[in-house]
Amino acid sequence: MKSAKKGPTLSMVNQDRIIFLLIFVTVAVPMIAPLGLPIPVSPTTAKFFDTVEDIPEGSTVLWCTGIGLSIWYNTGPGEIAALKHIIGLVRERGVKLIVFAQSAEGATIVRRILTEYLDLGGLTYGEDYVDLGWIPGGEAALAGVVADFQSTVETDHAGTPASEIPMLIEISGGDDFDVLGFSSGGMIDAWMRQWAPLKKPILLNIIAISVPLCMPYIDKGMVTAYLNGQRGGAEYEKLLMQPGMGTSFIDAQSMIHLYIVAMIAVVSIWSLGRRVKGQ
Amino acid sequence: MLFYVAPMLFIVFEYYTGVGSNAASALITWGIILSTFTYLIGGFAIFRHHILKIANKNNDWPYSAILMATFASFLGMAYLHQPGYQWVLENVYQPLTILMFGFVGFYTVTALFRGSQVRNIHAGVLITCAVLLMLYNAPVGEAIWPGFQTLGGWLKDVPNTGVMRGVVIGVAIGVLATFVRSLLGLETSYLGGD
Repeated sequence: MKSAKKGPTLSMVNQDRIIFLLIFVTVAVPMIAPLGLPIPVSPTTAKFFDTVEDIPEGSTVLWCTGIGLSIWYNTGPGEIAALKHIIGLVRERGVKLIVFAQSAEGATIVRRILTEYLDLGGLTYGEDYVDLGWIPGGEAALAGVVADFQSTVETDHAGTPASEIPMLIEISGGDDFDVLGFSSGGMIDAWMRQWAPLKKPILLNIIAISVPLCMPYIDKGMVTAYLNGQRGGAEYEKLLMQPGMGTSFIDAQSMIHLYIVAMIAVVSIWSLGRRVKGQ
Repeated sequence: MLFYVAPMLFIVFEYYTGVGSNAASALITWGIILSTFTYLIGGFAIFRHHILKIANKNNDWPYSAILMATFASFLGMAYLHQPGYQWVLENVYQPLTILMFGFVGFYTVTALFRGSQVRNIHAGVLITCAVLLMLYNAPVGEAIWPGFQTLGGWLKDVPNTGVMRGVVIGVAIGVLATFVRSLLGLETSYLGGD
């Protein structure tokens, strides 16, 4: 007996190859030839911008970089744009910026942003801004910088004693900071536990996939404003009128989202069709 | 156990009373110092594991040899040759770590391809929410139809926040329960118990 004729089928490996190839093309094409899709600024990014813009003269900003290199292209644009904005205020309003990292990779990111992306001309290290490098200890370090700064921070990234850095001499703890900011690639509970009780404005640059996890803190107002991953970075660049890494990647992000949505639609319609036919 | 429970109780006592703030601050500093030592222990454990593997010529020992050579050279460069360390970090480590993260993206898409079949109403709701959130998160969604912002924003701000709030409260209760169990001596996993 002759079996029923079947249409051509693809092995799972070949299915994967086609999917991977399409992902590659979908991401590569808009990066080679930007589509120039509009970048509407979301209210969350606008609020972040306004919060930074409202930092008063002579304030001290403490920024903790909690991201690693693996998510550099998602959170890097926001990190660069936010620090660029704050450094602008350091120059214009005498704001002081203290940056530290939560990991060795984070410290590298801080160094990279300070040396490659920010214009520090005319500013004096140790008087206008300072890089403390990596403060190990995880949540204990976050607690330490606001509870007892002088005991927790003994040197900056280069090993210069904190007692020899003018802008650090007067700082004893959380009350000496006017605005706190941080970036994260995951849960933000540790920062919330240690920093939210200070009741200071808290800024957050977070990887897009973690935004839903942080919503309870954002909704409660414990986080004053946040940047939503690469999109937040691109929007911030637009607000600063300084297109950068985020702007150049945002078309690719849009296209890959569209590709996935189209794929889900095709698979769903196909599976519904099979169900209707009773297969 | 005393060394674990006593500092914990003291920090809680200081938090609520303000008595002994200097000592509590010193305890936090000790915690930071101790956490730095964990990297030393981690480094020692890696060396011990892989050197024994190489010495005994166990399966895949060449990989251990490569790991040891990489570990030693990277550590050495960090202290002796900063430009080389930066070069390796930016041209080897960063692309590799981004590649690993990128793989997750590729495999997530294939998983979506196989998993996004609407088998029942629950799967339908889940897939619809995923699509709405994806279009909410990419600027192109708003360009197609501004309503994606409203719908996606509502999903993120209302049902998602409610669920996540429940998770956060649940975790906090779990942490408190573990704390109380530790105080009562019932939690001994940190001592190597079950």
